[in-house]
Amino acid sequence: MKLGRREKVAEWVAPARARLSVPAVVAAVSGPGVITALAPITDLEGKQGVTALYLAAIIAATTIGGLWSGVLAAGLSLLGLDYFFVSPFHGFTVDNKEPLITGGIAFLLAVLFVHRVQQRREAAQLRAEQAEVEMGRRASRQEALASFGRIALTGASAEELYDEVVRLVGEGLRVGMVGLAEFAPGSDDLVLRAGVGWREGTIGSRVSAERDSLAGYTLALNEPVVVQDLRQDDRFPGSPILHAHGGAGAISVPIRSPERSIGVITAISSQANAFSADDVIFMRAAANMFAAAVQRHRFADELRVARDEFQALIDASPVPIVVYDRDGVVTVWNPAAEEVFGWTAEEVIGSFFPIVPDDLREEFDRIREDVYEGRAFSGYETTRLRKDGSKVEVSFSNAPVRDAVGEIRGVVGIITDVTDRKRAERAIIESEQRLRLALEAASMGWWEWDVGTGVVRWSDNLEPIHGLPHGGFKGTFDAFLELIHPDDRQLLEDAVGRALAEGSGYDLEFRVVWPDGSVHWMQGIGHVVVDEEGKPVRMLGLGRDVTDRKRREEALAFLAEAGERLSGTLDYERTLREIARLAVPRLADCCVVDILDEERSPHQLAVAHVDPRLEELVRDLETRYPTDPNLPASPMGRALRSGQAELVERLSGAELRSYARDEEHAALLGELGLTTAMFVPLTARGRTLGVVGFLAGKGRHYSPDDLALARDLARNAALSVDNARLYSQRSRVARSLQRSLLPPELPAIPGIDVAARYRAAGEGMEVGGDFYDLFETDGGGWAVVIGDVCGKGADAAAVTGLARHTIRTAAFREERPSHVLQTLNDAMLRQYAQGTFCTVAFARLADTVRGRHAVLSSGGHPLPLLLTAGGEAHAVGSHGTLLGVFPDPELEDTEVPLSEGDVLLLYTDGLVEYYDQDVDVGERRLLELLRESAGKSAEAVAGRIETSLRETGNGNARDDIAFVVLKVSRAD
Amino acid sequence: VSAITFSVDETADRTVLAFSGELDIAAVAEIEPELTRLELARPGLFVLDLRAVTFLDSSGIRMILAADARAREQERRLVVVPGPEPVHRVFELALLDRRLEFVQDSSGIGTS
Repeated sequence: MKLGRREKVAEWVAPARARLSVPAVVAAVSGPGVITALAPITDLEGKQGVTALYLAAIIAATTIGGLWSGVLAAGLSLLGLDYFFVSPFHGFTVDNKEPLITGGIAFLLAVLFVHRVQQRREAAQLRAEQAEVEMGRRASRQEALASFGRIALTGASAEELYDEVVRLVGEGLRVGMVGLAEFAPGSDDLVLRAGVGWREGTIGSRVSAERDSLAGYTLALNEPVVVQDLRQDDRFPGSPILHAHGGAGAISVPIRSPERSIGVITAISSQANAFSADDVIFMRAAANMFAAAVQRHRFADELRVARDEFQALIDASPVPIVVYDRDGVVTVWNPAAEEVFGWTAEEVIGSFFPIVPDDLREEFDRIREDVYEGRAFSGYETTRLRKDGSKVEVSFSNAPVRDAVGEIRGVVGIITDVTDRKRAERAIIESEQRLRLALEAASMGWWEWDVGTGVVRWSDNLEPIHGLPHGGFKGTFDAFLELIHPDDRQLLEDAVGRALAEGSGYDLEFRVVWPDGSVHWMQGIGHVVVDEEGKPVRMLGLGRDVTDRKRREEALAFLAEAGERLSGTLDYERTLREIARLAVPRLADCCVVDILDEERSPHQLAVAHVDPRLEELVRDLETRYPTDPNLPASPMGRALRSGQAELVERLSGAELRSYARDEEHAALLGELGLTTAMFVPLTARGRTLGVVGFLAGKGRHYSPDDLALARDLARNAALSVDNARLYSQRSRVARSLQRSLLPPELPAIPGIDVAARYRAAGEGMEVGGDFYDLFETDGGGWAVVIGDVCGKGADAAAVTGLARHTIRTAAFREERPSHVLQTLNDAMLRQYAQGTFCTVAFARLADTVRGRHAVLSSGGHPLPLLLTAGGEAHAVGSHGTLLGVFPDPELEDTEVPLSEGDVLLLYTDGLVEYYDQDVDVGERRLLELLRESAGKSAEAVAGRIETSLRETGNGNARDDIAFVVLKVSRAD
Repeated sequence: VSAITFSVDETADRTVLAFSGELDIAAVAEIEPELTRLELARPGLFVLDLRAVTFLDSSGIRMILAADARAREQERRLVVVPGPEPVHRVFELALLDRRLEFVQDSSGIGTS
């Protein structure tokens, strides 16, 4: 420390003043006094010797007593010298003053010299001592600060910190009173938090933070404040406590953390002017250290709280949270991780992250390295293992864990078990896929129409349903309407309008026109979604291509209709014309049917075209360019030649021209505007009968489905043509065969009037099983036979032939009708297998002495009816066993006398069955009919029966009908 | 088109074939394959139930006679439950009521 001159003087003076004490005076007086007293006694001859003694005494006095003691000793020494040298015994008379003055000055200089030397020595010693003290104090203060620092760092409580700092300051400044005032939390008030030397109850009291208090002043100044003497300072009326404690000197230092003011620490000395600049420095240091400690403490608290909260969060997290380091060693493993993965924290922490499946180890390593390079992952989905080996689908987020300096120390992973979600997602995806597949399989797409905005959203597959390329739909309702067939647009608009008005929906089928002009059928299902007020908000819908179904329906309806027409008639030519008409426009714009005649050359049987003008053109073409099956290019010719159907899905102009035989032909063909064609041969029993051509234009293209339909149609038509041809052939055969089985004409029997009828069931394609015969037997008798062979056709015809001839033969040999039938029975048993039988009624007409009569027998046949001339009608004869089954049929003969006018009716069961299913009812009907015919001729009776059959009119008889009427014209 | 339906009741000791409707030529064509199938099992007792038959013509007769003949051949028993009077009349006319075994109620009879 630099000292000013005045201070130097003061430093010189002050100790001297302090030391002119009794010992100093004694030292000053005693030396010269003893020398003077002893000089007379001792033999001191020389003046120099005495002077030296005096000089020594002066030095001694100065040394001991200081300057003033030396000066005193010098004065006394001068007096002694005067005694010895000037007039030792003559009183103090100075004769020679010059040596005295010289000696005096010399003595004084000696004094001053000695004193100076001594003083310097003392000053040096003092400084050394002071420095030592100062060093000690500083060292102890440093020590105190250091120990405070240690305390602050070793996790002392806040209370300990406060107590420690006030103790530190008290000791460091050697004052008895220290106080620390702190801002109460969240307040502008200061509170005396800690202190030493205060009266009891003072700690905790409020301290003014205004400038009128020392603390407040210090804070406002934000600088240390040193008060020399509180008792004489009137600046701090707001510090009554300070004043009350009677402190004098005071030092007050603000405590600040970097961001805020914590409070004030104040040291009070009982003495005024107590504090040095060093003290200020110390106080500042203490305050700063305290502030730092408090700050740290606060941070530590916050950190602890944060860490506790964090730990609590991790522990409470329902989601697994893990941390692992660069080596994959786990450091954090929360309970949720335990729960999900099965490993406990104890098992896992410190070991390698266990949940990574071996095959995903590379992925894990890569991600970990990425995280260590600072990347974070979120929502990464992968598979992890449970302790039991099962797999968990997880989604995790990874982020680096950094330390205080930003170095990455680990990877935190938050893992979500998404197995359920995944499963649900998969289920959704699968169900969506299934739905999409199902929709696609059904050619079904969905759409959604926002009624407010007019925006339409739709599934991808709705566009192809409308023949549009991907993205080809403009997405508005109007654009949708434009796709609809003009004829159906209103229908759809009405349906939509109604659905919107009613908040309902619709389900209808309508046609759409593809950009290529082709027409397709759609099923549209719409559903209106309404808001709370019932106003339509959205409309959801499904669209589905039902063209195939519609075509099939049409095709089936068409086939059914065509089939009905074809089977209902044998006039196949007319039917084929009708079918050609039916095919237009459903299956074709133009349909032509060519039939091969007997010479196997085609001629056009039917032409139909939607456009009558073009129909004429087609006829004209056929006339001018007749179909030639040998033309190689013509698909029609190919179909005829090969018997294979020809499908020309896309008929190009070039192809069409290749069919043409000349330019004009080409021009005419071109006029038809055809784009597709198919030619299907009419084939039955391996023979091609003709060909049907289906031709269409307007962008239509036949598909294999269309061809299948055409084939079905052609098959039916061919069958019909074939049947009709066969029928006409067969019925010719059958008719001639039947004729051969029946008598070509009825013989004239004397006295007997005869009529017969034969009516085949159905269309007469097959030979029926009924037969009758009338022939003359041996001896002028006549036999009448009626029979019914089971079955029809060739077999029946054979049995009929056998029966007829057997009966004829037997009738010559055998007298009794029952024997004739027995013969037939035997013949049939011999000839035929089980199950072939016939029923026969046989009557022999004869004249005997008893008169004309009939002897008859029935083998399972309905009994003949007799109408007597008197108008009585009844069955005659007795029932017998049918023939051809049993070796021992029961057959009886019955003799029936005949009178003139009697009518005998022999018939097959077809007749009575025709009247009624109950043969008894039928028989009664027939008997009635006979009674009504009484008196009529045989022919008239037969006619009457025929008429009744027509009148009964129950359609085609299911069985053949045959009957023979015999009328006895004269009973001679 | 035939207007026949039929039902089959095959139990261990008997096979009952019951017809309903018109037993005419069309019906026979329809029934014969089933009849053949049932006969393959060689039922000890084969019952043809005609109670619900409304019409029977010679085709029906023929079918039943053929079945009966096969049964005799194979020493099986075939019985016929007669139909309504008009239907049974057809059998009576041909005296088949004496040739075939008609029983009013087949439930009580056995295969012996």
